[in-house]
Amino acid sequence: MSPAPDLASHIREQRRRRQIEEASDDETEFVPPAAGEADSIPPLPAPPLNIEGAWAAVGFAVVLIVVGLPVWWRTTTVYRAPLPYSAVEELSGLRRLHFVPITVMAERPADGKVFAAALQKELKKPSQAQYRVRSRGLQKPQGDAVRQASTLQGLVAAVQQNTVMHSGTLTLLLLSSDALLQHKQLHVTTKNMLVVAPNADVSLVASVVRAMSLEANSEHQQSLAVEDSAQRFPGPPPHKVVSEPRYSLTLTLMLPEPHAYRAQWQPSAAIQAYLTPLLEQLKKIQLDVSVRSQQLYMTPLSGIKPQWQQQLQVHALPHHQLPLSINGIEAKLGSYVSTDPALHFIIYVPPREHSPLQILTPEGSPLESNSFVVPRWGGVIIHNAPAHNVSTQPGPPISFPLDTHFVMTTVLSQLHELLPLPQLKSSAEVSVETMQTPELTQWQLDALARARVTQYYQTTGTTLKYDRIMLVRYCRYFLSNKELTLLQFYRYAIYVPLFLPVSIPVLLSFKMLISLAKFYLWPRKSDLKQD
Amino acid sequence: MLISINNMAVVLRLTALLILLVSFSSFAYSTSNNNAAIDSKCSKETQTDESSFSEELLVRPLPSGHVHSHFEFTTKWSNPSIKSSLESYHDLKLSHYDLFPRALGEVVEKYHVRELHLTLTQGLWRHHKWGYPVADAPPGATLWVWFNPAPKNVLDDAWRDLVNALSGLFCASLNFIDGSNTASPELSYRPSGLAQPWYASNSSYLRVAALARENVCTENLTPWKKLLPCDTKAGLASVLYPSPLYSAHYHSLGVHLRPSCQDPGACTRPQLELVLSVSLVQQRLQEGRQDFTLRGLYSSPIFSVCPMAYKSMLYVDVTGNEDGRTFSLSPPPSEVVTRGAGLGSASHRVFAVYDLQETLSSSRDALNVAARYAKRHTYAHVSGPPLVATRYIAGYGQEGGSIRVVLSNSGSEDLSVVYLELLPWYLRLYLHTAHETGQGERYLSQFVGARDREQGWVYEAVVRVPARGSTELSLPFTRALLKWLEYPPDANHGFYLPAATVSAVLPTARNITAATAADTGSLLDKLSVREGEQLVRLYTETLLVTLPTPDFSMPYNVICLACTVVALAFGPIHNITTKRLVLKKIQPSESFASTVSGKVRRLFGFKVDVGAEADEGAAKTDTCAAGTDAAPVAT
Repeated sequence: MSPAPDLASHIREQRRRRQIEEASDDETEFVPPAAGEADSIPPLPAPPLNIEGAWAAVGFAVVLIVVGLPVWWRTTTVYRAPLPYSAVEELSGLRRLHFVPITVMAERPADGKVFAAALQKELKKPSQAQYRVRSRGLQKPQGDAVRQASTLQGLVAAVQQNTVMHSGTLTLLLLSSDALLQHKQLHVTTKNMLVVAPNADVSLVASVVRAMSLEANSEHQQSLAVEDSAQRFPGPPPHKVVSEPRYSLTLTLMLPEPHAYRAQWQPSAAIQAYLTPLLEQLKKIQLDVSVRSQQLYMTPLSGIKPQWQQQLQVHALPHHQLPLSINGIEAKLGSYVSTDPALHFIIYVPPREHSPLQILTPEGSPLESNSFVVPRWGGVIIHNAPAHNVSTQPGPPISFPLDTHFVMTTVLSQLHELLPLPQLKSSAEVSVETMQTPELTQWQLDALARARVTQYYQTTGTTLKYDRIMLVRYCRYFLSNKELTLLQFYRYAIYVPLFLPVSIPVLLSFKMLISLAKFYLWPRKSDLKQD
Repeated sequence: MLISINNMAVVLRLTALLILLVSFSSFAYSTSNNNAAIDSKCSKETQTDESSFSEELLVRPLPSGHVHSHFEFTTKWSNPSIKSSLESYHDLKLSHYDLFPRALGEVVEKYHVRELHLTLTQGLWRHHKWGYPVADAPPGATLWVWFNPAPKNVLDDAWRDLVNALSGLFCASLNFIDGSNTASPELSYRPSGLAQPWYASNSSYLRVAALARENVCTENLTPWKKLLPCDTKAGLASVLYPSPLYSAHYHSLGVHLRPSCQDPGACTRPQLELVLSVSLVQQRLQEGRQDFTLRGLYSSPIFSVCPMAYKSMLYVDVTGNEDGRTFSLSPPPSEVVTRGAGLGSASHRVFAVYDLQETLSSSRDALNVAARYAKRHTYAHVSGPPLVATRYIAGYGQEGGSIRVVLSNSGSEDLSVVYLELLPWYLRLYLHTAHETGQGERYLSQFVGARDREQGWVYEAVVRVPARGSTELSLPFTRALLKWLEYPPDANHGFYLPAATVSAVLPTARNITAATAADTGSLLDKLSVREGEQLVRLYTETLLVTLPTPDFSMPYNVICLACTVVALAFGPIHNITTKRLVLKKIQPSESFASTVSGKVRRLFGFKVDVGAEADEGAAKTDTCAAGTDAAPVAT
């Protein structure tokens, strides 16, 4: 406690001696004060410094700060779950790359080697994927297939039949003549195979390979509504849904005027025909989507004010009103049992006063699909009732079949928009084979799987943080019956009568600490003089 | 004597079995017949998905001057998947919802539910004045669910999750249902829908719980309305305004889901039936007459029908007023329906029927049915129904007491009555003295002893109530002490005990308002009671007991007091150890201002000149004690 006991005792001894002297002086020189003599009394020396008292104050302060504050902090603090922050940091700090093996199968192996080397060089540029290009010659059945093929489709079918192609890889078939390709440089099949013309531009092939293996950012978003709503819903950069293991997809048919219109449709048959093949595919990459459908009556889309357009003969729905329309129906869409994220697809039959309803582009032309996508939420499809003489007279409702093909293909394309799927378009140099069924092509499925992995890593950090805290807090405070312990305020407040009166004298005694410090560090002249 | 009691026990045991049989004999369909019927039907049945919705309202003037209104919204759903699930006692697989509410369907599907009955009630149904209701419900929340066959632990988990899901769905505090207030009684709650005997007699698939303290208000009505296909935008539900509803003497919201059958009589084609109901009892005497109008009852006439409903009906009970002498209705009804075995028979009922679809489509005006009475209402003795139960707490003080129930039978035949008590564990029952005031004739069908904080009491007994007599039962108890965190907010208000359930088979249908069977598809079917024995389930009053309640501020008071004492002691100790008494010269005071400035400067730690110090010392001597030459000054 005392830094220099010998010095302190020395000073203390001197002080005591001086005090005794002063006291005896006082006693001897004491004269009872008389009125009017106050001014003449000589000033007394400054009261002596109380070294023991100051050290005692130091002791109190130390005990209060070293013992009292931590005890108070520990007893009143809010419980927080420990989190593996370092692991989270480590995870987010790492850069991970997808590995994409590419095999170049060439009719002439020498060409293949050259092409593979050029392609490898072209694909070196930094990106989210790492490519490894190998080349090899054709095996006999493959070579026969290439030689015998008379059409491109025949060629592709024959080669694919004789080639083992693993998912997650790409195979490039380098032909020796471009006769079958009809002067296109590149043909993209629905499987993991590309057919390349002998004189193909390597940089073009590289860019197509990149576009196939991972979704490019926003260049392929064709729908106007998508872009618009993406701007209107600022959020985390990936607007797409991928990271959860399960989704529940709900098709909702909304009939705000069931007394005027009745729509007939068989949701189970429609889902079976259009959605099930795709969902089966998604199940292969551990994306489980459960589908339900429901019908909502007497519930209109809220917040929209369509205007009658004379020249188009429609009620125009300006595109800027679209995002508001889903707010009112949210209350009817929630689930009380499932915590899976939901995707909602609304098929809306507008009421008579808004029929026919048409979404307009910003340029004022009608939007062909008459539907819009809401990122991370789902989509809305407007399905007008067939034209008829609008009568306000009450009568039996007009029953019409829902155009299942239109509805389900729109749902599918909206679902494609919501998933991070790479899209390729045919151009002068590239021809792209499209699926004839509602399924995804193999390379799209591979890219989706890669996007899921990427998002898992991106969101693991944040998810870990939020989930753990939510869970722990929920369990500890909401599910326990001890509501009284919830009141952290009480735990803090009941110590106030103790800490307030105790800490005030201690705080006030800090003055003594300062004078003690002064005494040791900057001894006053009077003290020195007495020494 | 002993032998006779034994014989009596055997008799009562047999009655218990009889009750069990009667309660579902009308719809227990045997496997062998059923399979044959299904096979023959299968070829004809189209594999389609059918759902239908109907809305009905019964208005029944009561002899006490009150008016009872009962709204019933029925959704039926059948498709091959539902049919096979119900027949094989498997979980329902509901994917494509049309009229059936998806919010409830998902709950039912996930938690292995086969039959679900939830009532949220405010007020007490006065059986002795109002007779028997369409469906009885005790004050507070009551939930009973029949699950699909599964192991006990699976059902316990499903029940726990189900009450939480329902509590979210209906904004009710059903999440307070846990193991300590749940029971599986043997006799009182048999399945009300389709069930084969092996299932209906296995009460391990049943869970019953009641929360007597639950308050019911608009926050429960709003989610309840959302389950209707037309919400409140059209149809009978559009007249359900909260203010007349919640100013009524009694109101009860009900959600009843059960498997029923599409074909009355044969009962071979199962379907899912959801009945959403509201029951109201109001008294709106006008100039002493029991006159009522729809506008007066619900603040609004009926101005629309739900377009999704295949049938929208309003029934006014005019039994005993066939000639229109007691009251007249305007506008006149579409038709008057007479049911039962003729005038004077026990099942004779007459209803004035308004077909709302027809009435509202032919005229553009809203329908405001008015009943006009010829005479002023006279308050007189109302002859009550044959079986009435009254329950109360006897005893005084905070230590012991007893729950007494009086079962009175005004009929001409002895009745065997199943009496069920579900009591919380913090009452300590004394069963050796139970029923000491009764005649001792009882058969205990189920008894579960309470375990602290885990399991409540279940006491189910069959007792005999003599004709034109009564039986009084008594369950003495003492009160337990709770841990201080187990007390609910406002613990001094007391603890509610849920209502006891009293079930009996009445010999005639005379006083029965409605009888539910597996093939009753609409409210009118239920109101058209059949001749003969009828099952009734009544609820008694809920009870309020006060438990010894501690002073909850005590711990805080102790802590605060202890802290203050410590703080008071600390001040002087701190002063003694850090400060020292020294002698100081007394200086006469100069002025008040210099004293204050000296103190202020000293407080901020400035160097204080001797003059000021001396002044202060002098001031202290002047005010405190003259005669001492020096004053202690702390440094």
